[in-house]
Amino acid sequence: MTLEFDQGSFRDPRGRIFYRDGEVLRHIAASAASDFDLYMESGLGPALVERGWAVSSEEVSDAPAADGDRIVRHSRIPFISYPYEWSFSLLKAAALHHIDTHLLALDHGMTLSDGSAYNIQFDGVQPVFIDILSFIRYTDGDHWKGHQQFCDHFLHPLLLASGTGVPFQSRLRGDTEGIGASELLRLLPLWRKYSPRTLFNILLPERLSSAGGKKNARPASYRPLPKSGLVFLLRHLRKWIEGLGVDFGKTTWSDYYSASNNYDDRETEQKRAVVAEFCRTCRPRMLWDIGCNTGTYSEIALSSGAGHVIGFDFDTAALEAAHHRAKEKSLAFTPLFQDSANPSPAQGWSGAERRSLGERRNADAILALALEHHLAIGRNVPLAMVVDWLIGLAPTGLIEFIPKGDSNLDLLLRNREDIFADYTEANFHALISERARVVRKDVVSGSGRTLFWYDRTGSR
Amino acid sequence: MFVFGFTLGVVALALLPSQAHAYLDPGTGSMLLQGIIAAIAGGLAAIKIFWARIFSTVSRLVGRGDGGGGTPSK
Repeated sequence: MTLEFDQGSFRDPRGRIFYRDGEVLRHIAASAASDFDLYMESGLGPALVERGWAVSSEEVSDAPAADGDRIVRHSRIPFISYPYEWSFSLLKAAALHHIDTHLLALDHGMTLSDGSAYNIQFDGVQPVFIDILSFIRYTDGDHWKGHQQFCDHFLHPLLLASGTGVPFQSRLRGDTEGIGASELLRLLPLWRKYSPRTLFNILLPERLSSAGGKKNARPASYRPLPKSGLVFLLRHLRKWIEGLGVDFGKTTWSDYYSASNNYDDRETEQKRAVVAEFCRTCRPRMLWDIGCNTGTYSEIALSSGAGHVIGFDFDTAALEAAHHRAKEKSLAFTPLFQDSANPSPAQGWSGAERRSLGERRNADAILALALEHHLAIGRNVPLAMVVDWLIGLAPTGLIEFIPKGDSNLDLLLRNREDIFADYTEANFHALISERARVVRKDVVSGSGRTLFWYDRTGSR
Repeated sequence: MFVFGFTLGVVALALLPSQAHAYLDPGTGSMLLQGIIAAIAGGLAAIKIFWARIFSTVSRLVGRGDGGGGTPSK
């Protein structure tokens, strides 16, 4: 039996997450036990679980705990992701979920102590609340102490993307505390900055606090906020966020499959068939679709036997389309923001609070379709290093090779010297063979695009 | 004066919600905003009571009211 504490679970001293042989357990200190009891006995916990809004919590007795402390077991989330990996739609869904959960909690005599986006995870594109210690007893008059954190983690990034068209992901990755009010106000265009909502909710409090708040060392006293006021605040935020949209413009990839001329229908059909057969054979519980675009092949994978698909792409508009697909069709598909040439690092406190993408590897199989040339040609990553990285992600997978002469590849080379003498299909094949068994090889386009099915389990 | 100040202090302390769960700094701006909403909510409640009183007084004066009790006397 091995016990391992979660490196990102330490901010609230009343409890901590740890892992025991694949189980997710939470230690709840005696000081938080009454809140946990209320969470379960008020019916809030069961109501959230029934709706799929929160992880389940089941008390366990076979784990060591001091007197009065509790240990509970939580249901597992297919893949842990972070707000800087979410698309606009995912962050918006998480924000609305946070508010809806809070409103439901108030109906049960509880409130949320914080407003952290890291307390939400996704199962498909359904947000799930994971931090049950955030639920505390509500007393009429209490302020919501997580309001500012909610704004920094959710509202401000959404307003940034919505108001300027600049994606928030790199900012959230740069500062895991979110985007502060003063930072946002410097970035918003004038007419957004002085809109009534921004004026009242962000500009006014920011100016008032920077005017006098810092000099005063005494704890601030404040007027009790009646429940109707708190509900008003939450509904007001909800309505505001609900109405936020984003226009990232027409990006390179958002219409890739509809506009691309590298495939005719018959060829697309062939690629689909290989992906479907791959998934029918491997039946991966978890598949990573790297460079998922709008999720066409993720969907095929799911209908061919894959249990969950996590898609990665760095095109924000394509991710929006992928989110739409997953939501409309209720797919077990989570499309996430990720630049394969610069994947999420380990960061936060001690460089371990938020885990790197590599540390979160849990794929049984990968799809990497029309991806490697962006790394090998677009980013100058030597072909051997690209193959190393991809094959290291999962024991088996399907990798597409795009040869020179393909119009999409030639586009990458049109304004530069071709310094990629070893970029050949034969070399690519050899590189895979050195690391895994090539199960199958299918040419799927007239330009010579080839799907390599590799398997590095067992003997080669 | 001392007694007044002391009483005010006790009242202010009583109005402060429990700090037991405040592992997070709520932020001055956020507290001010919620204070403003609280003031507006308080103001709205006062206006509501005020109007209810005026309404019941006027109703009584013109003789159509039920005296504000709601239940007719037998």
